[in-house]
Amino acid sequence: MRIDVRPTGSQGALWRALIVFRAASLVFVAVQVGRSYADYAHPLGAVTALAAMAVWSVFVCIVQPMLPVFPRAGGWRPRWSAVAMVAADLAVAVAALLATRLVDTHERVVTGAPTLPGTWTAAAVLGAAIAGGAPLGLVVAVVLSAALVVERGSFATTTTSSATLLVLAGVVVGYLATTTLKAEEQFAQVRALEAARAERDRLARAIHDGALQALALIARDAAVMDRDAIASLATEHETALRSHVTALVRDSTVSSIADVDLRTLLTPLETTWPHRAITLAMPAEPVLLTGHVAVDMAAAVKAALDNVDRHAGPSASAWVLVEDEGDAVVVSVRDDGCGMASDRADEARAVGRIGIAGSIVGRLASLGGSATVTSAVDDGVEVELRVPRR
Amino acid sequence: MSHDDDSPPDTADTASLRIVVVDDHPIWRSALIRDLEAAGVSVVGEADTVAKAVAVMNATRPHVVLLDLQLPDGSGVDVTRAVPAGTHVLVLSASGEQADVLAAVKAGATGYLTKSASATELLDAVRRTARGEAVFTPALAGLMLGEYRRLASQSEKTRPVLTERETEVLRLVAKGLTSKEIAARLVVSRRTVENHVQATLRKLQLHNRVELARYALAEGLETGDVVL
Repeated sequence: MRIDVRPTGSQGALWRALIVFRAASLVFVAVQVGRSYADYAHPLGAVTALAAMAVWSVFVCIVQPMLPVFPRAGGWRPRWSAVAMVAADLAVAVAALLATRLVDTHERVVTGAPTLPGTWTAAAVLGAAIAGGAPLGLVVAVVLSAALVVERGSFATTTTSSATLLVLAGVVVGYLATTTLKAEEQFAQVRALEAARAERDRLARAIHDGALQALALIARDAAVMDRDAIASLATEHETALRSHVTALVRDSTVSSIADVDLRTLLTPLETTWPHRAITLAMPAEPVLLTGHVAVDMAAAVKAALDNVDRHAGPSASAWVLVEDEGDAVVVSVRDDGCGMASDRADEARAVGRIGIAGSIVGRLASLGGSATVTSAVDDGVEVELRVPRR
Repeated sequence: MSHDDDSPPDTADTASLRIVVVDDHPIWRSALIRDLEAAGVSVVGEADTVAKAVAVMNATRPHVVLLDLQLPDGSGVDVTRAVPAGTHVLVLSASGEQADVLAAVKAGATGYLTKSASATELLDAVRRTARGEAVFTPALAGLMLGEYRRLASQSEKTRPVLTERETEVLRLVAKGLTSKEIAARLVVSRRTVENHVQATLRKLQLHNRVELARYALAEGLETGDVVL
């Protein structure tokens, strides 16, 4: 039997509804106790029982979800803790029910005066139904019904109809909870399938527009094409295909849609940057960043490389180093071009011309990161891009 | 780092070099052998599988094994683990196999080049590997920085730790500086830079051997059969 309590989704919503039910029925019990106060055999006992029910309600609704066995971030709590909570809830409800016999007079009890916990006992049934579906709802309702009969001492009509209502509530709410949960899971599956299909479509488009076009071109013109041109075409599309395949493999192993491996965004630069040789140095492990952060970081790297193209001179090479420091990701872009005096970046920013000001510093600042530029005349330029992980 | 070896190619040295080429693409393999033999290097064996590579290495005891990592019956990492004493491994691999390159280096390979390297770069790297030098590309330095960072995030007591200077040198290598440029920037000798680079490699390889030994010991104790 499925027994679990998730603090999120439909189960979370049902739990919150049950909290309202517990509070409302507790108010109702308090009113009841107030009205019958003079009729009880032990009025103080009734108040004590009421106080105990209030304490238990607070524990179940507020304290228990904060216990360390209850994972906060949408995880599953251990099965035993859900079982223990349902059992304890049932035990308290039965005890409150049977306490009626201790605090009330025998005469009132056998003539069908309201039980001490009244509708509050139904909370135990509903809680069990939410956690374990119709079967657990039924079991708890049957136990409570038996307790009702024991408390009354007979199968009086009011008692059996209360019992019937408890059983119905347990089964119906349990069925509802299970159905909602299933629907929710199916919806999540459909969404995952849609995301996977969109990714396949994107790959198909990329391969169609890239490698297939290149192969078709080679098939048609190989005889008249320059050998170097064929080689560079093949290299370029080999790398692109490789990064698509890497992305495909990673997507099937890492289920998180939110995180993107910065390396797969930068790898294609090594062979596709048109104007100069670019060498990449990266860790062997994925460098995961939240999707838009990774995309913006890659765009900042491209802006830094554009800057190399504009200022470093035609013979300069560029190097890109990616480092994962755990709480931050650092990308350094270095060139061995003519460099610039350190005040040149400020000057360029004032003129509003250079990429360093707009695209790079601004982009990094919007991510909560920073960009620093170091340079000396004849010693190239180095841009260090740093973005924190949240 | 491989571009700035300004000592002239030592032809006598080159002629006495014995090389084994391991690659499963016949066209690529013959191109490599052609380049090496044109430079006077003697290719004493070739192989296209892990099994053949191990047999050829043991039979010929070459100075250098030029190793592709993707082989039909396993990984070049397996070949690296099986090299006889006195043989150095130079990994020559396509890009996009970072995890394998790192595993090969940890298993004892002392050099790494991508298949896009020119014939001159390749010959230079082969000579340096034969002399027992580490052949670092910026890509390899990046992989090693990543690996040291990964190990630093673990609580294990025996994990290797780089000195500040070693990290600095490795970062500069990863950013494409030659050892001459690094030496100038840090105001030390080129020999010192080379030593720092070698140390980063040695620590990682030593740690890997300790880990393997510990694993073997633990497995052995579990089965009641001590392997060490």
